[in-house]
Amino acid sequence: MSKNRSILSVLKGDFFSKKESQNYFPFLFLIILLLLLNIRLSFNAESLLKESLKLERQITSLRLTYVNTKSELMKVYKRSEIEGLVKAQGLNSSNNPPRIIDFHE
Amino acid sequence: MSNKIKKTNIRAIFLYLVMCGLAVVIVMKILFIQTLQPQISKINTPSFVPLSAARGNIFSDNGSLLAISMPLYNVYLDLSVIEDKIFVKESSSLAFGLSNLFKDKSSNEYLKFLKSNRNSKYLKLKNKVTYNQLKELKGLPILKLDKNKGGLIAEKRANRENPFGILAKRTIGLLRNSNPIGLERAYNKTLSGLDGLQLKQKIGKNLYRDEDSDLNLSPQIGCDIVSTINIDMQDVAHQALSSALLKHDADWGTVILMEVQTGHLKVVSNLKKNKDGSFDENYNHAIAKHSEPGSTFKLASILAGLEDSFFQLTDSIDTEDGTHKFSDKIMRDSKKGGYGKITLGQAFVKSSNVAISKVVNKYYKDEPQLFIDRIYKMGLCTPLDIELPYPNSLLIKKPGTKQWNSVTLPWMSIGYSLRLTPLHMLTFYNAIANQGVMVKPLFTTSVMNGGRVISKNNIEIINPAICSKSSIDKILPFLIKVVDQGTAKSIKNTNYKIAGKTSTTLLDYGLSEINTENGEENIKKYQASFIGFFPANKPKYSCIVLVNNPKKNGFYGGDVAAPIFKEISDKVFASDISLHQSIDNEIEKESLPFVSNGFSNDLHNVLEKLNIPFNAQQSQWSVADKKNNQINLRLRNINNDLDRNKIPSLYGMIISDAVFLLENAGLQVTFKGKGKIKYQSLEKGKEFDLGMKINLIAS
Repeated sequence: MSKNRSILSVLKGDFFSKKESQNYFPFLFLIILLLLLNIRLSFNAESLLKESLKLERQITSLRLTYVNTKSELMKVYKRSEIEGLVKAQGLNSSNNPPRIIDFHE
Repeated sequence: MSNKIKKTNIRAIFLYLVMCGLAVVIVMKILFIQTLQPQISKINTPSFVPLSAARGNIFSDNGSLLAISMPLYNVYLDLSVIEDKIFVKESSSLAFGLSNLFKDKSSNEYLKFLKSNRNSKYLKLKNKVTYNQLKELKGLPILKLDKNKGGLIAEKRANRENPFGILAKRTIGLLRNSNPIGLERAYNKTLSGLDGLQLKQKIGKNLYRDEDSDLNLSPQIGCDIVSTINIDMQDVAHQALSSALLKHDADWGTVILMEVQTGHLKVVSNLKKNKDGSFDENYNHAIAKHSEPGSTFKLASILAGLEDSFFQLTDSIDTEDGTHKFSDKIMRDSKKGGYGKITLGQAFVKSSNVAISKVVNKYYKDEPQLFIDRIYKMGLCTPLDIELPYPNSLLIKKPGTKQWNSVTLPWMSIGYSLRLTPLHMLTFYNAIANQGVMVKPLFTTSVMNGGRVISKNNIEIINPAICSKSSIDKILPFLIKVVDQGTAKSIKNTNYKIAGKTSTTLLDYGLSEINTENGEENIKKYQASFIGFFPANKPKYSCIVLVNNPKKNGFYGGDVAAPIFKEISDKVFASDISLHQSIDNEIEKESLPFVSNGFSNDLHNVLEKLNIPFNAQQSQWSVADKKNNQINLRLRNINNDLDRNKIPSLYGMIISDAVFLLENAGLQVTFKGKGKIKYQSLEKGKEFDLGMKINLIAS
C-alpha cells in the first residue's frame, strides 16, 4: 500500500510541495540553466560548423577560379600568342641579342 | 474520499502502463530499423569517406604550369521545371547570354534550341565547361534561379589540364587506363600522393561533420614535378617546325633542344600534319622513332677512324665519278659526277657518300668488329636509360651474323643498315659539343612538395670520354665548315657560329632498290635532318631537327631541316642572356687608351706612369696596338728604312716625332695640323735624296 502511495505521490508531484524539497530548487534551477546553456552552445557550434563548411566551399571556389584564370593566362602568355597580337602593328620578335648593362653601386 | 483516491490510482496506473507500452513500441521500432532496415538506419550513421589526394602539378623550367588538375563540367538543363511565365519572358536573354559565353552558336540558334526542347528534363547544353564559364552560366537569366526553378544541372568531371595545349603534349603525357604516356606515367606515383579516410557524420542536407577516429587518415597531396622543358623555346620550335611542315608538305617532324653540359631537354616537339592542315602530337618520335640516321652518322665513322689512327682529315680520297661499286651495289654521291679528288675533311663537309664509305671500307673491311666496337664506345649501340619509357628497336648489325654482308660496312658508315632514335643521335652530338663527355638526357630537374625541393635529378654522365679530345679538336672545325661552306651554308650566321651536320636519308632504302630493279615506278621518300650545336666556340645548346617525307620546296637536310634549326637557334641565342657578356665587360676591354705609334722610351714612360699593362719589343720606335687586354708595342723599322734612304710608313705617328726623324735624315718637311699623321706625300719604300721635300698632314 505504502509503495503504491509513493509512486502516486511521484506522479502527482507531491514531493515538490514538501519543504525539504524546496531547499533543492536553486540547485535544480542551476541544472536547468546548464542544460539550456548546453543546448544553446550545441546549436552555436553547429552553426559555426556550417559557416566553416561554407567558407571551405568558398575557398574551393576561389582556388578553382585561380587555377582556371591562371590556366587562361598561361595560354595568352605564349610567345606565339603575343607575336600574333602585335603582328598587325608590324612588330615581331627580334633576333638581335640583348645588350646587358651591369649596374654597380 | 477513499473512492476518489481509488479512481486516481486507477487513472495513474493506466497512464503509467500506456507510457510503458509506448516506450516498448518505440524501442521495438528502433531495434527493427537497426537490424532489419539498414538502408534507413545507416543514413545518419557516421561513416568513413575516402578523401582523394590532389594530384601534383608539372612545371616548366621557369615555373610555368604545364599540367594541372582542373575539373570540368558537363552542363545539362531541366527545362521542365521552369515556369512558363519566366521562360517566355527571359528565354531570349538566356539565349543571348549563352551565345556570348560559348561563342559557338548565334542567340537565335540558342533560342530555337531552347524552345524546341521546352519540356526536356535532361537536355545536354555543353560538355567540358570550365569553372569560370560555369560561374558565368550561374549568373545568366533563368539559370541564376534555384536549381529547382532554373533547371541548371552541372556534372563535375575530373580533368587534367595542359594550359599550353599541344606544346610538349606527348612529353608531359597523359594518365589513362590504357597506355598512359609521358611524365604523367613516369612520375605517376610521385604525382598521385596518398588518398585519405575521414569519419563523417551527416548533419543536414549535403552537410557533414568530421568525427574523430583513430582510423582517420589525412590525404597526402601529390608532389610537383619540375621539368626541364622551357616553354618559350618549345613555342619557338613548335612554330618553326609547323610552318616548315606546311611549306615542305611533310608528314611529320621532330625537334629536340638539349643543354650541352647538363643534358636538360629544353624542347621536345613532335608534330604530325593532319589532312586538314592542323597539327597534333600523337607520337613521341623524338624518343621512340628508330630510323636510319643517314649522313649525320658520318661523324661517328670519321671519329672511329681518327681514334684508331687509320686516317687523317687531310688524307686525299678519289670520289671517282660520284659512284663506287661495293660488291653488287652502287654507292652514289648526291652530286652527279662526284667531287674528284678531295681530302677526307672536305668529303665530310660536302657529305660525300663515296669518300666516307670507301675510306671506312678500306680500313675496317677485314676487321669490321673493330668499327662496331668504336661505335659501341661512342654510346650509339646501347639503349638510352631515360625517364620516359619507350619501345627499344635499336638496331646495329653485328659482323658474323646473318644480317651482316659485304655491303653492310660501307652503308653503315654513311648511316644506313642501322636504326637509332633522334634523341640517341643528339646525345652523341651533344657529347662532341661537351668535349667528349656523354651526359644522360634529362626530362626533369627536381621533385617539389609545398614549394620545397625534396629531391633533385642530378646530371648523370653516361660516358666521361666517348673519344679523345684531340679527335674532337680535329673534327670541330669541319663541323663548323659544314655550316660556313658545306651542305648547310644557307644558315651561315654572322652573330654566332653553328657547328653541325646535315643528312638526307632515303627512306625504305632496300625497298627502293627492289622497285628500281623491277622497273616499277619508284617514288622516293626522304628524311631531312640537321644535328648541331651553338655557339660553336662555347656550345651551350645542341639540337636535332628531323623532317619526314618532305614533298615540296626541296628535300635536302640543308634546305629543309637546317633552316628550322637556324630559326630556333637565332631566337634562343637572342633570348638567352647567359650567352652574352655585359656591356661593362666590353667597355672594360675598350678601356685601354689609344696609344700612338712613336718613340719607344716615351711610350714606356707614359704607360708605366699610368699603370697600363703593355708588352714591348726592343726597338727605338714602336707601333702600338691592343691585344689580349694589354698594349703591344711592336718593332717599327723607321731608322732602318731611313738609313737605307727609303721613306718609312709614317701613318699614325705623332707629327713632332716624324718631323724630328725626317729632318735628321736630311729631308725637307712641311706639315699641316697636329697629332697623328694621316697623309704622307712620299709613299713608303720610295728612295729619297738629301733635301727632298716631303709634305705631311696630321689630324
